[in-house]
Amino acid sequence: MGQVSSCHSCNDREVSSRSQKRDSFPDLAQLPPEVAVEVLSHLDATDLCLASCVNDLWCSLTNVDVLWKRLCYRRWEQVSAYYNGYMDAHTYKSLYLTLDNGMLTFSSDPHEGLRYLIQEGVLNDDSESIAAFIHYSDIISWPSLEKYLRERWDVLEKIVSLHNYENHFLPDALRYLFSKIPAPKERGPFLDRLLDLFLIQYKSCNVGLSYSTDTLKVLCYSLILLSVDLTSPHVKNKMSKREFIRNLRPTVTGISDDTLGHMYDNIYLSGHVATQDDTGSPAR
Amino acid sequence: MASPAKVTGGGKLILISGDGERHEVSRETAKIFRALETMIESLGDKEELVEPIPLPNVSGSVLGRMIAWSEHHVTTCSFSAEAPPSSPINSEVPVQPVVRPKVPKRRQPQFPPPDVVPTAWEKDFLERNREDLYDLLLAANYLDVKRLMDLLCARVADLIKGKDPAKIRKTFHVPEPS
Repeated sequence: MGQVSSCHSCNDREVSSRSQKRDSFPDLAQLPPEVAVEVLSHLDATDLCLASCVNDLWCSLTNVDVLWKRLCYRRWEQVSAYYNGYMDAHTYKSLYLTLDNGMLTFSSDPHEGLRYLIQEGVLNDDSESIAAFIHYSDIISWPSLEKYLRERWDVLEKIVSLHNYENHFLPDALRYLFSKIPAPKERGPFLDRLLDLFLIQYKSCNVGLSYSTDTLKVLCYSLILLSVDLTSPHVKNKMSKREFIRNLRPTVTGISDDTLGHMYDNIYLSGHVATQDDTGSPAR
Repeated sequence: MASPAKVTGGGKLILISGDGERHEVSRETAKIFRALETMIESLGDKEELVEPIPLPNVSGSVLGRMIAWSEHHVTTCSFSAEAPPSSPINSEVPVQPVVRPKVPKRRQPQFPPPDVVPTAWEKDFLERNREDLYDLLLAANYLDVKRLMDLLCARVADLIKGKDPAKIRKTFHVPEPS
């Protein structure tokens, strides 16, 4: 630790070369290891791997497993490997690389990607584990996820049951749903099934809610249509709040005009319930 | 933290750097150096500390800047958690009063990414000292100043980001492995 003062005096001697020193730094291996690891903890996996090639000392610094543990947990909060004994025989670095590999495959072939993770023992082969894995993952290929969920309704059901809609206003709850699960482009059995699952969860999170499931379902469809109507550039004559309420009046019972008005305002102000950019993935 | 009485009555401390510079700081300022905290707590209500505290691993000029850092943070407390601004539009309007059911709350992430967004003052501080990051980093580690550590580490990590091994070697003066 005597370096502090000695290094400082050498700084003074090199005043002339200061501008060139600006973006340089002494070798990380000169730092106390815990400080060096602290520095490396700000890097992502790619940068860590590149840094590991610098030399043997850097390699051992970047292989410190707590760095990889952090990266794993940040990207995949719930993986069966964390508790199913997989870690007894593997490092977090190898876990990270396996997961990364699996997710790469997932984006081209979702079934193959997850099969790989299950074969490796990283993921337990049951819908609950898969659902938790998907739900708590940071980045996931959106089109692949939709493709996968269309064939695995059991997983879809488990994912929706992880959502917390407590005290969520219906349009906000829908927005949350579609930020977690890809909204289908068209009406069909998938959307219908998804909304059924959503409403079961929505009602179980808001027990005091007195509206019937049928009413809520009509509202969900109306809100989706209203979202399209208000945000689509192709629709010239936008629906007014009065029209929205008047159209719904005959079908929904027990909901005041004020509440319907709030719903209209919510869509008007916050936008589409399923905001998607060009690539089809929402801003998560 | 100290009781308010101590804040007003906190006597001065003398810190001596490795090269013999004497720096006088208030107790509250010195407490930002967590490494000194226990010692300062143990002083109790004694008004003055006669014995100066030697900090052999920190040079005078670095110590001066560390003190500037802690004096700033003692007065502003800027690194207390700032709540993210919530947009009024997105605030939840429940459909009707509801009975709160028991739903498992989402756990806090086990490894939250460190909050390394510097305030304007901190940015300026880092900019002014960009040639002495190394000395400050060692001093921050030695004196246990977490927030400064986080910012400095993030800053050094920025020097690594997006570089291939050859460029990293150049930046960090690492010789080519034979």
